Parts: sequence; C-alpha cells; structure tokens
Amino acid sequence: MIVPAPPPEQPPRPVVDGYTVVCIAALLAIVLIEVQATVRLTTPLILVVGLAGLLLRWRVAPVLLVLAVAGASLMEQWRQAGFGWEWPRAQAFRVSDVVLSVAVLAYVVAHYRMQSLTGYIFPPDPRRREEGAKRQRPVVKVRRSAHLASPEEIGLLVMLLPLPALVAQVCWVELARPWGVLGLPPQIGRLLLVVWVLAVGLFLIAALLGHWRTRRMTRAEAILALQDTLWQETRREQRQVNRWVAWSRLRRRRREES
Amino acid sequence: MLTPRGWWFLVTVLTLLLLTLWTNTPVVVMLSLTLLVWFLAAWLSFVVRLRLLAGRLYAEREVRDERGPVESLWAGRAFTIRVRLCNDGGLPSPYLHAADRVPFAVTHAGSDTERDGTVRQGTPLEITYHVACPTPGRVRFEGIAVQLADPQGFFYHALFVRDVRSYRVLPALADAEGHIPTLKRHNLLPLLGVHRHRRPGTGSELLDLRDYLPGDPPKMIAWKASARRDRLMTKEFESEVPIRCTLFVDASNSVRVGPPGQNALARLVEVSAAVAQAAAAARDLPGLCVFDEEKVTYLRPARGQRHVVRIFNVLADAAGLPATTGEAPTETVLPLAYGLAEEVYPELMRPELNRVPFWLPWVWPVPVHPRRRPTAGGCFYLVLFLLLALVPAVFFGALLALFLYTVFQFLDLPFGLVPAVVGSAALLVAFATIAYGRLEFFYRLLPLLFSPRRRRHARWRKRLSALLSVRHGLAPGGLAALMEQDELFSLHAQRFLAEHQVPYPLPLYDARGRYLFAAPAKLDVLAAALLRAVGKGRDNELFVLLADLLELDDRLAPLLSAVKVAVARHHQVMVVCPWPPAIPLPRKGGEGHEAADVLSRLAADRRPLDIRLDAALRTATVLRFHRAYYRARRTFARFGVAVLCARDEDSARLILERLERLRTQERGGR
Repeated sequence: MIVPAPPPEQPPRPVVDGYTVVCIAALLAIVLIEVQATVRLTTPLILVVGLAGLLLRWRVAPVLLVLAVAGASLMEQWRQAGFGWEWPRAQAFRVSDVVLSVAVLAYVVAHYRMQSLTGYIFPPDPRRREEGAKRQRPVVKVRRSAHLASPEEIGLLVMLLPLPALVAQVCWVELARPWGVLGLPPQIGRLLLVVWVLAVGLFLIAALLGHWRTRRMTRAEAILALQDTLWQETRREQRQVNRWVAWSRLRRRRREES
Repeated sequence: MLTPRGWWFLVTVLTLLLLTLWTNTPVVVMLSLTLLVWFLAAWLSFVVRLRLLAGRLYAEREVRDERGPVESLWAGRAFTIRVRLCNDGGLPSPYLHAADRVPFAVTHAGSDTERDGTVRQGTPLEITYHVACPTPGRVRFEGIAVQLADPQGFFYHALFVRDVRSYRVLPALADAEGHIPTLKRHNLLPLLGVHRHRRPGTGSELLDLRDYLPGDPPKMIAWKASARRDRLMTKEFESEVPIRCTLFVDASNSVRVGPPGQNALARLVEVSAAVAQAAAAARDLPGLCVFDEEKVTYLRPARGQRHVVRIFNVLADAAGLPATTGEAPTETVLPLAYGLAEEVYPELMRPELNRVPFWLPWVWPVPVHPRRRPTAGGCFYLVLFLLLALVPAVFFGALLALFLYTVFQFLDLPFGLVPAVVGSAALLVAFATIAYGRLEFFYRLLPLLFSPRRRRHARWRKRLSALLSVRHGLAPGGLAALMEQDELFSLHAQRFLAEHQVPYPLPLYDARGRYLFAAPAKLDVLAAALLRAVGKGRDNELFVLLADLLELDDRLAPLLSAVKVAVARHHQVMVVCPWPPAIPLPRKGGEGHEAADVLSRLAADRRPLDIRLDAALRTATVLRFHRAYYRARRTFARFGVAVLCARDEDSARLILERLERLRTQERGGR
C-alpha cells in the first residue's frame, strides 16, 4: 500500500515577515543612533550590510552587522582620540549605548531565528542526503516548521530584549571603575578581570552541571564511566594480557589446521 | 553542543569584547557584553531545560492494520505505525525534531517519519506513517531519534528515546497448494475433508446408506430415504485420515547468507509455511524442527490453528537470523557499527563519558587482522619501517664494530675488522629478536602517523568497544579485550548489528580460499533430530528435510544412517534443497550430458576472450551446482528418498502430493 506523501510545506511567510519587521526596525534604530551622534561614512555601510543580509538571507549577516557597528565605533574613537590608556568618557552609562545594544541584539536574534525557519536549525549532517538519482545529492537541511513560530514568540522576544542590555550596563558600570590589578594599567586590569570572571564562572557552572549529570546517570552510563576509568588506568597491562590471549588463540588455531 | 553558528557568534563576540576592552571603546564593550549576556542566558536556559528533560521523554508505539492494533505482522502486507513522543515532566521541552527509525526489515510505504515541535505534559508529538513487510522474520523498532535546539540554532543536542519493540512478521498465508494469495486474505483454504478415505468414519462427507441397526444414534437416520423405502436407513460418513508430517528446516549459516528476505532461508521458510498451513487445513498434523549447527527447536506434530500460529512464530524467528563469522574484517563492520551506535546510543558515545585522549590514536596501534593478506599499503609501510630502522641500525652497528675492533686490538686478539663487523651484526640481530615486541609496536605505529583513516578507526574502535562491553555484559576487562582481539571484536560488532537488524557484508571465503558458510556441523544435529523424531513417530510419517545438503557428500554419513532408520520404520523422507536464484534448475534426465553440451558450446564460442571467460566461469558454477545436485539425488535415491530444489515453484505442491500418496499407502495398509 503506497500512500502518497503530503505536499511540501509552504515557506513560513507570516512569521518570517514578523522577524523581518523586527530586523528592519532594529536596523533603523541603529542608523538613527549613529546619525544622532554625527554623520559618518560608516553609517551607509551598516545600512547596506543589514539590508543585504536581510534581503539575500546571508547566514553571516548578523556577525557582519556586529562587526560593522563595532568597526564604525572604533574608527570614530580612533579619529577623535586615538587608542590610548586614558578613559575617553567620564560617564559609564549612556542611554544611546543601551538602545544601540538592544537594537543590534534584536537584529541578530531575529535574523538567526529567521535562518532557523528558512535555512536550517540543526547543523547539516553530510551523511543524510536527499533522495534522488543524482550523484551529488544535496544534504538534508532540517528547518523549523513555520507553525511553531507564533506571533506571541516575537512579542516575547521584543519584551525580553532590554534585559540583557540592562544586565550588561550594570556589569559595565562596575567594570568601568578603576581596577588596580597588580599595578597594571586600567585596561589590562579590566581585561584580566573579565577573563577571570568568565573563566571562573564557566568553570563553576560546568562543575555544577557535571555533578548534576553524574547524579542523574543511568545504570549503563555509570558502568561505562567506571569501565572507562579502569581502562584509562590499566590499559598497558590489559593490552599486554589481551595480546597474549590473541596470540595463543591464533597459535592454537594454526596447530589445529596443520 | 555548540553548533558552528553558535561557535562563530561566540568567537566574534568574545574577540570584540577583549579587543575593545584593550582599546577602551565603551560602545562596543557594551554591545559585546549585551550579546554575551544574551548568549550565556540562552545557553544556561537550554542546558537546564535539557537536564530537567532527561529521562522524562518516552515513546508509545502502536502498529495497526485496517482493523485495528496488531501484535504480529504478515509478510506481503502494509501496516500503519503510530508513535507518540510524550513528556511526563512539568516543563515543556525545548524545540525538538523527532524522527522514528524505520527498521531495515520493512520498507517505508508512505507519510513522513519525522516531525518537529515542542512536547508538553499531555500534548505528545505524534508521527504516523506506513510500512510494508516484504519477507517473514522479525521487525525491531528501536525508538525515536530526537534532536533539540534553541530557536536561534546556537545549541544542539541529540538523544535517542529508546522504545524497543520487536514484532514477528509471519509468513504470508498460502492456499492448499502452496500458492501465496495476492488478492484475498480469507476463504482461500480448502474445506475440511479433502483427504477422503472411503470407509465409514466420523467425517463430514456422506459415504453410503445402510439398514438401521439397533444402537445407531437417531440423528444418523436418513428420514427421507427411510420414508421412500419404508424401512429405517442410517447414514454413513467417510473417514478422514490424518497424516503426521514433520518439516526439518535448516537455519544454519549456510542458508542465512545473502540479503534478508532474498536468501535461501527465506525460500525454505516460505515453502515450510505453505506446507504447514496446507497440511493443517487438510486436518493433517504438521510438526516443525528448526536446526542449525548447534541447537534444535522442535514442535511436535499437532493439529489446530494455534499450533499453526506457533509454527509460523518459530519460522518467523528463524527467518530473521543473520549469518555471522569471526573472519569478517573489522574495517568492514566497524564503520557500520559505529554509525549505528552514534545514532541509537548517543548518550553512551558522548566524548565526556566515553573518552579517547586526543594523543591516543597517534601512539596506540590497534591490532590488524593477522590472517589477512598484506596490502600494497602494508608493504609500503614495511619498506618504510625497514628503511627508517636501517639508519640507527647501521649507526649503532658501526659503533659496536668499532668498539669490538678496539677491544680485540687492546686484548691483542687475532681478530680483525671483519669479525668485529660480523659480531656486531650478530649482536644487533640478537637485540632485534629479544626486543621484537617493541620493534613491532613501532612498526604498527608507523601507519598511524600517515593515515588519518586509521587514527579515526582507532578512535571509533575504542568508543565502540566500550559500548559493546557494556551492552553485552562483558567483564570490566571487556573493553581492553575488544580493543586487542580482532576476532572477538568482529563477532561482537556483528552481534550488535544483527540485534539491530542492520545488514552488513561478509566475506564468503577465508584467507586460504575455503568457503566459510558450509556449516557441516549441522548434519550431525539434523541426524540426531531425525532419529529423535523417528523414535517418537507413529505409523507412517513424512519427514521433509529442507536443508542445504549440496556439496556436503563426504559429511553425509550420519544423516544417511538416520534416513535409513526412518525408511526402515516405513516412514517417508523427502529432501528439499535451496537453490540459488541465479543458477538454472537442472534438467530432467540431463545428468551426464550437460558437461559435454557445455564444453562443445564453449569450444564453438567465438566472442572476445573476457566475455568467454566470464561465460566459462558462470558455466563452471552452474555445472558445479548441477553435479552436486545429481550426486545428492543419487545418494538419497538408494533409500528411495526424493531430492527437490526449493527454487522450484512446485516444491510445496510436490510435498503435499507425497503426503497424499502416503495417505493412500496408509489406506492400503488398513
């Protein structure tokens, strides 16, 4: 009994349009903030990168946009004050920075979610190929179904976007204080502090998660972990013994055959 | 866990953060920190939900036909699979993509086997699709492969919701003549009483009328005939003669070779099922004995529908058996088994649990199969090793010779340079002999430096050995044993593949050119089973040996003795040999003439040499099979035993005819 396959699912237009709107709004906000400070040559570049990434569905568009915004700021700083050890601004908190961060984050997240809907969400597995007679069959790409991405999801995303920016602002206010680490210049002190906080935080979280996973191991996983530890500790001795066993078996067989 | 998309994003953000902290650019620092906080929050949320979900997902499966849920499947029919992925945790799952793993033993016949979404308590994810069962055997559903991701596609995790269900695929229903139905399922079996015995008995067919005798039951009075003749008449019915027929089905390695469903065993099972069903329909008593090289599964002849279903179950179990050999090279089974393990046991193959140190594949030579022939690559590495070993050997040899020469001069011995060189060479040979193990270690190490494939295989083998050791319940040292013993690893990998019904290629011949699947040990088992059946037999029975006995002439003695005993006790014996599909059947009365015909045809052939060679090879194979068949026929003909080919469409019909003839004999005996 052959049952005909259902027709392929149509591209997820409405929600993609929703994410497109978020991306365009975020792009406009970025451009406005850039223009508000001063008109720079890099502003059209940001606009072009953002729009091209949106229209051509570039996979690297979010990263390119982040790099473009960062490049524009770095160039502006270099033009005004150059890269020095001195802190160029008196205040660590500025509303425009927070808005810019929220806008870039909105563009990045919306674009990546759009990629999951139109491109693929899981890394393509080269072993899985589409059916067909072609020699070079394309790799199967699993994309998220359109009906799963509801308008409520976009609303929730927009509501949550300011939170990371606010957390980042708090962190930055703390970080902007002069940190005298081992008498090093403030930038290096800040750099070391961030690296240490990230490393220690990730180490602690990883240890907690590892402990949690160990507590919830199944029987087979626990046996495998113990067996693996035993093998790691005694592999040389076990290797020797098993090679002798293999040799003796071969010798016995040769004797039987002869 | 991180996808390439996530990696690129994280690397970009971290680089920007560190760079702009260095260059003192607050806008970009803020931007990078915002992106990093979002990324870390998304990661933490994903990981925590994943941990909370662990063990909460389970699958429910249902196999249905057009009437409803079923417990067994039938060959040649289509079924609907309905599987639900459920979550009994309080938290909804992250976005997931579920794919039901379709077993190799069935063919996908429609609808999608994959679905995505979110699973909540009370809201399962349901997948419905259709499969067709081409051949009898067993179908094993492993479970559902689940991939989870966050909406951005930064993080990803694969797990397998195991729900192992095994269903028997019973042989297709057949009619009395062994024909498999193609249109209708019901009302194809003949009515009872096919085998008539024209003697008064308790059958259902009217035999005759006779005068009423006192004591006849009133229900047997033929009232109309009594009225016409004006005296009481009694009806007499025909007697039915049940015949006991035992089918000995070969399930050894020799008939398991080949793709499942297309091998000799499938044909034998098909014939056996048809005969058993037809015999049961005629109210005969079919029995079954499935044997291989080691053991026997025996079902005594009996009557009834349940008994037939029991026979079908045993046949279905036998039909699903795979061929195995310890000679299968690990290079063949390793990638297959590793791919399967990655798919079905992802939690046991995780790198943090099933560890392989990164340096290990570079310095840990996995043993090669010692019985295989040296390949061109092996010869290259041997030459390279000898050349590399030559440099230190010459250097140390020269030093040693110089030292010996100096000692000879110092002690004023009458030896010159030549004895010193010979002595140093002898010492080097002695050293190489003593340190053979070390030198071999370096020799085995050499290919690892140049071959990424070998390093990859070494990594795979370690992970797979750990998994197989746990799955098959080996001792704690099982991992090391599987790592170092090729034959053991090959057998366990084959067992793993066979349990999951994954077909794998096998070598048919060993390094010496001997056929690996002749399985002569089965003859002793068959002979013992036949003697046991004869010992328990009643009256005249029919024993049908469905076994691959071709080219086993020199090992037939125990079986012939058993056949002689059976024939001496007035039983009938038949032999049905499986016949390869590509080989034409032997002609009737063609014995002795075929070889001459073929030789004359080959001599007259004027085609190109390669085509003639191919044709000659094929002809030689055909002749070999025909000769083996004729030899077997002659051997068994001495005891009055017929030998048939199982490829013949009429083999089931011939067995049934023999049953009928036996019944005639029985009637004559009475």
